[in-house]
Amino acid sequence: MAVVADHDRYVRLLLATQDDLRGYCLSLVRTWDDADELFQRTAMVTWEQFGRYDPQRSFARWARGIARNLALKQFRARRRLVQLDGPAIEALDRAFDADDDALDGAEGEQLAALQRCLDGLPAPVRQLLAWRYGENRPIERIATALNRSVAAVTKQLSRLRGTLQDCIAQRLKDVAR
Amino acid sequence: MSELDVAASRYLEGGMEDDERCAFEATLVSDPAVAVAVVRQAKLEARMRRILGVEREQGLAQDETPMTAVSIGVAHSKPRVPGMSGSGRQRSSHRSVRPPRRSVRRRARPALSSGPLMLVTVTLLALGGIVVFSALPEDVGPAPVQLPAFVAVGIDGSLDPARRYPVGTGTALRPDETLTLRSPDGSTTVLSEGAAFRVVAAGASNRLRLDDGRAQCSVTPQGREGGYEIRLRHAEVAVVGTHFTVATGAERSWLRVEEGRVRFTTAKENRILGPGEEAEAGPGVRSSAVVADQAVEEEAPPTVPTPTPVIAPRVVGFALVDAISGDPIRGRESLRDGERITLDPARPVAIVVRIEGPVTQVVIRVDDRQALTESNPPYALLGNPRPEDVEDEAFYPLDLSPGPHHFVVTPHGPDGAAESVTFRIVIEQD
Repeated sequence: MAVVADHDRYVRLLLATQDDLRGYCLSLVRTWDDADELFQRTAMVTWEQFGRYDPQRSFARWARGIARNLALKQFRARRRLVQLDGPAIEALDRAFDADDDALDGAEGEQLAALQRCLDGLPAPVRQLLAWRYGENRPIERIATALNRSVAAVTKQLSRLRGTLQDCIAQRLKDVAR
Repeated sequence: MSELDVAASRYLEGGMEDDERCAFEATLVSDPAVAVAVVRQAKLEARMRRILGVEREQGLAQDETPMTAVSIGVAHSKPRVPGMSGSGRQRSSHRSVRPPRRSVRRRARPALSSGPLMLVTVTLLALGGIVVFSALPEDVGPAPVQLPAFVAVGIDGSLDPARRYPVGTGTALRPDETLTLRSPDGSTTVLSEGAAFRVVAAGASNRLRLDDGRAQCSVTPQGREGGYEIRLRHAEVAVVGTHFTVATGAERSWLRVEEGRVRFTTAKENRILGPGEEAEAGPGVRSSAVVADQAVEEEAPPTVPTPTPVIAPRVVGFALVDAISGDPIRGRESLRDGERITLDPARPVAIVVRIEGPVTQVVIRVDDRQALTESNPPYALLGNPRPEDVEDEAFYPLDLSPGPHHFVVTPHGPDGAAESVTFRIVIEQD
């Protein structure tokens, strides 16, 4: 039963921090294929070492530390895409830590705000985002499907992310009032 | 969106050349705001992938036995988080399982409420593994099952999920509105202006009831079990992979086959028609090679125009769109000849042509001077940037001088040029 309890606690912690951890993996390796692989490896190692986790510490920071070590050791050994040097990774770590503190457990609100912002988008725009982020389609394929240039699609995605950031900020502000 | 965010998103998208990337990474150390921007963008992408990835899985599951995304780790003791795509190598080392139905909570729609994120986990101890089932909010209830449906196709060829027509639903189009529908088997039906329809079956077999108007159908070849049928007022049309046009009204129903073979059934007769053949039925049909169904419909004014067989492409409308995004502008999807358009420099617009039938290219002449050729949809009156152009727009904006302008649009099909259509607009400056 202790194993089950541990498992439940672990899963809760991992799921609560999965976006943070996936984002961190992405910032290290910069492609979603590699980020997904790193994330999965991190999930395995954190589970294996869960007995060593100090519940007084932040799970997100602990998991990021494991992801960082995995990225540096395994990915670099395989000459993969981790090209950041130590100081750059430390800068990212500090920024993720600061974001943790700022969020202070409000991950659910962030996600809910994003969902509502996505729901408010016109169908074709949402379809574009679904192709890119839901199906992980390369921008080149999306551009071909839409008969548009890669640059135009990239810019539109960039603008959409900006629109969503603004929308999320506004919704969180409204909730706080 | 700040410049930093733009740069961070380009960095994460892999859109930077090596030199630019190195310079950007150097600023990660020197400027904490850069790292903050990277974090913001990376987390936004991660969240979008979660929400949109789950929606995609729900969409894929709609025609299948519900198979929830449950996976067991390599050693049956490792967690695996749903929504994780991973590399092919990784996928091959995992296997998906169908969980026992009673022990599994149905995947909830990710339309999050403002409540806390609730976690749902399932442990399949009997399989010796740890299974992470879902990370979706509990308080939104089970997902509504998405029924197979006919779905509207947008100007750019993408499906419009907001306009789905499952069995039992339908609509009557406005006199100036056309609609292209795609059925679950991939068949396409273009409904002409003013047509009225209802979906009778969708999925393994696909059946549409056309109550009024005309429909041009391009049917995906059907398997033995499949089928595509259109029920008209006075006849039924069943097809096995073909192109054909039907029309119906109070007085008569009409069919012309362009390609393939079509079964045309009335109350009294059952015929198979081939390419180039036509059939009619209804009380308004007196002498024809087809059987009239006299039992249907009382006196009513003839509302069905004599349909012209459509083989060549045909211009069916013009729509105003956002030149940057390519999105239709609400309320301006069907422009009238002579339409007045006010240009707003902050929101460039373009006009796209809607064309039915097989198109190879479209030649557009602007004010009797400039001619351009469009080879791929969507067809814009002033064209769109080529893929190699580094342009921000989906279409070249309508940057004509104030005053009247006209366009002559000539679609070309496999058999050459079709009928030209002249379309006039008046540009007004804001």
